[in-house]
Amino acid sequence: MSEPLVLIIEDDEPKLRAVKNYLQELIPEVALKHANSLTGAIQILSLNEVTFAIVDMSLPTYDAAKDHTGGGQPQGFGGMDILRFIETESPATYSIVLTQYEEFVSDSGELKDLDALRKDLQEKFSSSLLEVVYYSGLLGDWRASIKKAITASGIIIK
Amino acid sequence: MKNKNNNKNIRSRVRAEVSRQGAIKALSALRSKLSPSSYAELIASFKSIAAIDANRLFRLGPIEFRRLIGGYQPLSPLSLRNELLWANAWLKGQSHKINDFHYFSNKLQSDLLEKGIAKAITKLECFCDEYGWSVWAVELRLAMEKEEKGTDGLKSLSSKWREITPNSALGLLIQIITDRNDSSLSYETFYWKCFNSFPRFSNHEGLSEYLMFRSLSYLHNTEDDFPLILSREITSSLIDYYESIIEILISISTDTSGKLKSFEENALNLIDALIKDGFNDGRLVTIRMALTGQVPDTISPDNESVFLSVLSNACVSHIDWSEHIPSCPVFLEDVLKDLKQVCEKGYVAQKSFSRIIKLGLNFKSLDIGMLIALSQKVYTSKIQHECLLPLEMTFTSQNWYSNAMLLKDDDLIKYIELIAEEEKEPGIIDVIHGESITSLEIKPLLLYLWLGRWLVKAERWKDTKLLCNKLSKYGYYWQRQSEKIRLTALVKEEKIVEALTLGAQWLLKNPIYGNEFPVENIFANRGWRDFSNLDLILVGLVAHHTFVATEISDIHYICKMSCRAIAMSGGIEQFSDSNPDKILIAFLRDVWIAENLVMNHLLETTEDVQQERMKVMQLLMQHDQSNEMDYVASIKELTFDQTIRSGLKHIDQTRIFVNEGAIIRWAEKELMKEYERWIELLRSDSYFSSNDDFIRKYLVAPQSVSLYQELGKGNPIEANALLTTIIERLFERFVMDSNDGLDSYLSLRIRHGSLRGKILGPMEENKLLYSETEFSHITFGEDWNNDGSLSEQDCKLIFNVLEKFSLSLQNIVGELINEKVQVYSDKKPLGGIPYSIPITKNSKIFKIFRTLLSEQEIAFDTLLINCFYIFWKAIEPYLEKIGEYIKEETKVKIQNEFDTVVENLRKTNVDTKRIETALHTVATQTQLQCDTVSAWFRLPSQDDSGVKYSLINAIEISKETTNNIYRSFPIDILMEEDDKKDILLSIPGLSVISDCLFIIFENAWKHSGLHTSIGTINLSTSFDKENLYFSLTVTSNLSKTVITELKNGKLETIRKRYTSQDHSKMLCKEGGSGFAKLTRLTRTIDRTIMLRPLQFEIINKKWVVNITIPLYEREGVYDAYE
Repeated sequence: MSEPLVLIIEDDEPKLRAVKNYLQELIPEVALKHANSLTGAIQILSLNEVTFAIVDMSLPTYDAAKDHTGGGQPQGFGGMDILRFIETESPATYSIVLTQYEEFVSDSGELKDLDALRKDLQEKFSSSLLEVVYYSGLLGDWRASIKKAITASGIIIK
Repeated sequence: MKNKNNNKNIRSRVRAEVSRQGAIKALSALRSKLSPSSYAELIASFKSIAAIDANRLFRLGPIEFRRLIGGYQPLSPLSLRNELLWANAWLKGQSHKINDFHYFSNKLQSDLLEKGIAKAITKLECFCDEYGWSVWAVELRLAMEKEEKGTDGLKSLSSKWREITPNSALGLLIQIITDRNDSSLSYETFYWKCFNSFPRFSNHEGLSEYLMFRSLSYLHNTEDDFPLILSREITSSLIDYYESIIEILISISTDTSGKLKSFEENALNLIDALIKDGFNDGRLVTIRMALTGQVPDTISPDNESVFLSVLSNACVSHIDWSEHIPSCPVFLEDVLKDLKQVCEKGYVAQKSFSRIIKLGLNFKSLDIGMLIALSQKVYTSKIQHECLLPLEMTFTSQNWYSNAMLLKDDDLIKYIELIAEEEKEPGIIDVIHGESITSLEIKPLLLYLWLGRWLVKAERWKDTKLLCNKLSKYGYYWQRQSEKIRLTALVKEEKIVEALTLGAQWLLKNPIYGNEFPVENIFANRGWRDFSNLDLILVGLVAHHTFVATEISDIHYICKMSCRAIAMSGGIEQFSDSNPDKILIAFLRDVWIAENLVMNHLLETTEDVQQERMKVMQLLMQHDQSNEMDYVASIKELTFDQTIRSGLKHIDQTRIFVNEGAIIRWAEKELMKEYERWIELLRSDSYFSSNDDFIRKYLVAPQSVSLYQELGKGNPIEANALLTTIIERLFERFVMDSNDGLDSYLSLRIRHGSLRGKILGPMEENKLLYSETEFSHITFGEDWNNDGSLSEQDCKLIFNVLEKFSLSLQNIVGELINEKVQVYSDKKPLGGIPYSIPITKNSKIFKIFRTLLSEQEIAFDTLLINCFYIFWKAIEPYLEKIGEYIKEETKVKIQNEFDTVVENLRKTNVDTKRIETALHTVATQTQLQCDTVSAWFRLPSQDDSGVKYSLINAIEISKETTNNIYRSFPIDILMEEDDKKDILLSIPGLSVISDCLFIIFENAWKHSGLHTSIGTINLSTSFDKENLYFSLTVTSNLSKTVITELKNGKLETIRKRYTSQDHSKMLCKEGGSGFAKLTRLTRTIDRTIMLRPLQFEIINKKWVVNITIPLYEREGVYDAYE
């Protein structure tokens, strides 16, 4: 069996560093990869067997370092497409949404808070989504939530 | 006895209150205080004690026109339930007046249709003189005036009425209804105007809701809004009050949200009471049917004029436009054409569609208006589960056929049977009871569409198909409607490929059918895996247009994955050798676009996608020559963008951004009509009273008054009011657009974590941030007490200090994100971004703007570009202020927290040197981080990369574009050395000049007669600095044959066509491409300075084109406008 692979999909540098550091401490035995755009994430998910992915909801389309427009059109709900992609194209991958937004706008234009989003996403991606976590660099709660979700799933930490 | 005492008590209270505060206030106060059981006695007492006022209120309307809405103060509104109970008591005994009114309105309609508008106007005025005015009559009177005397007549009457109703709700309503009738204002623009301006009247209780109801028949919240409307109408006109009661009953009976369910019983009680009291109104019976689902045993025969009867058949029943419509009134001739267009083409006939809704609304006082408004609903129905809008249902007093649209599926069958009996179609009943449809003679009757809907529900696929085949033969309308039923059936039958094919057929005709056909059903409850093995071109095409129509992101994903799957299996190269069919062409043109290619990881950058798009355009140019001009335009745009982008040495560091391209696309769709109206108003010099606060508030937003005053130099010209609105709307979009506006990018690039992460990053990395969580406590121990040197008590002390420090920092950054880096609003009073254009009087920017706008007939795109420039310049100081705030105040606040935390740590008397050292280091880093964040708040600009555009860039772009389009053109440009030291151009300037050159190069290539042997093209330029006129002269070779042709008359034809002044004026309005575009660019050149700004010559056997265009200087860089 190949080494577990964790993919962090995040375009915000400080958040990426914080999540990376934490995962290295929590599960040092796994390999980490990261993507900072929607297409970057799709590429890694297409070419690798990802064990689980930490998904940010809002992402640029392209890698800002390569793209002359600074990442192309921002995908406010790019994370949704990644979750859909995981569900249909990479069914062995689990996911955790880690977002800095407290409110979201749905297709119908309604404002939804994080709890409502969690409920919707867990219903929609029941087979792959482990948890929806609110990220704040300041509060440590997201770490505990990620740990709890990974532990409960039994995928890496038994 | 108790009741008698109670009544006596009420009477004495009425007497006391009337003498204390006057009749109306007393009535208002007492009805709010008393229970519904006392309403009847209260009204009876009011009638006897305040007889004069009561008589006025119980008239059909006030005799004095100006006393309508507002002559008396509105009553205080009750709850909706109590309003229904109140109506029961208030309308008791009024049936004869309302019945007389209905009799009159039917007669008036007959006169209008048979004797003409002038007679109907006289009749209406006589009625109002005798029985009083109502908004019902005002709306109708203005609509008739417009049809009789045109917009000028309408404005004249409106102005006369407004003079006697200054600064009043009535005057305002007259202005609004005038706008609704004004033929230069589209329905969509009017709709937006209402939504945008009415909230400005929120300080007048209920006025905004009332205006929305009266102008658009729109209610935001039925339960809350209706009482506000009734409370105003009850003191104005009995006609309006009664008609509004009918609207409430309709709303309750057609509500599908469940919010009004609890009022059904009250509504039913009121209907029964009104019928019992003698109200002879067919709508009451219809509403009762909708509420109870009880279909009456028989249907009352229609009582219509011949014209109305035939028209109603054509609109909502039999729908046969081949039938002759007798003696059509002149004012309805165009409407009939529009109705026929919408009937045959549905949403595709958008202009007709918009005119129908407008006319229907304007004549909604009569059945004819309702009929017209209802027809568009019938014509574009998805033939699914739907209820009509309340507005339209009121028509059903005259036409029972549309009742079928009110019924839920379960009740529908009963109604179909009833209609079948009336129509003498017994075969239908047999079919319903199980007989095959084979032997049934299908006629072009709406009834058969409802039968189709029922057959789908009953899963009788074979019969559905047969019915659709037979109905389709009756013409466009029937074909379209039966195909909708067929599509629904195919989806239910799980025949997805057939459903996709059918959907694609209609979407290929026009993508707007995505709004009319139930194509979203194909994707409902299905995911990408259900489509991945089907024809991906077909899936992608249908999913794309369905997403555009519905904005359902799950459907968009299916489209994006179709594109990905095609890319993974060879991409578009696989189509390059084939001869593409219509579906493939449409797919490549409409679907293979950046938005749909985001799941294709083989395209890693925007540039990759642009290259991909370029390939597609080149491929389509070969295979779809009918749209060649569009592909050429796209290639030009892509080449321009690529050249600009490739010049940027590094990515702009500013996080401030607006997707101007997207805003322009929005404006072209949403503001073009207002722009056209503005041009029309400029010519008409229409004024309004500058002293009328109500009207000024309606025309101009309070926050835009200074902009308006600046534009018009104080003159109350309607054109300036409209221009202000256009600019204000554009600014609102520029700042607030949820995907492409400034606020959206502030959210995505700054508020969304980046700012917090940037400022707090060093602290987090150095493990100095803690919160009151168990996890935090554990981490603190691991971070700062891993050697166990601190006691538990000391740990707690230090943790508390750091936790407090963390919280303070969080608050500072939180305030910055949640309060300061926000658009200013009531909820965000500290917001640093203005929500309206901050115009300072006599500002330099504004002067530039006004100079440009003073140029008559300024092109739309020029207006937009100028607005964007103004917006950025207006926003710039605000951004700077936010930057300064961070650089000064935030930095100081944060530094203070660092100083305080160190002090507090020392006070603990614990050895915290290690932490203090870390804090000192991090404090410096954090200050630097603040400087970085502060620098984010500046304008995006190409100047950051040091790039300036010049004529050389324009030549490069035009060369590149020509090469991308005409790949065998060996373009070789020679330019005089002196001309290369040229002027600096802005992006719009660069765009216009490169476009000029492209047109000339393209023409030289296509018409030289030399093909690939065209040789060198010479270019020279000159610039008249005094007048800012820029001239280009392009010289190219010609074949002998072409020279002969030109000399034999062709050259003269070209000159006549493109250089005569008259033609130039015409093209200013028409636009144009090729040489026509060159003509347009020269339109503002002063002929006394430059007699011939566009010249075509043959000099020394060479083709010479000379063009002079105006440039505009902006901070050392030159603009040019189309």
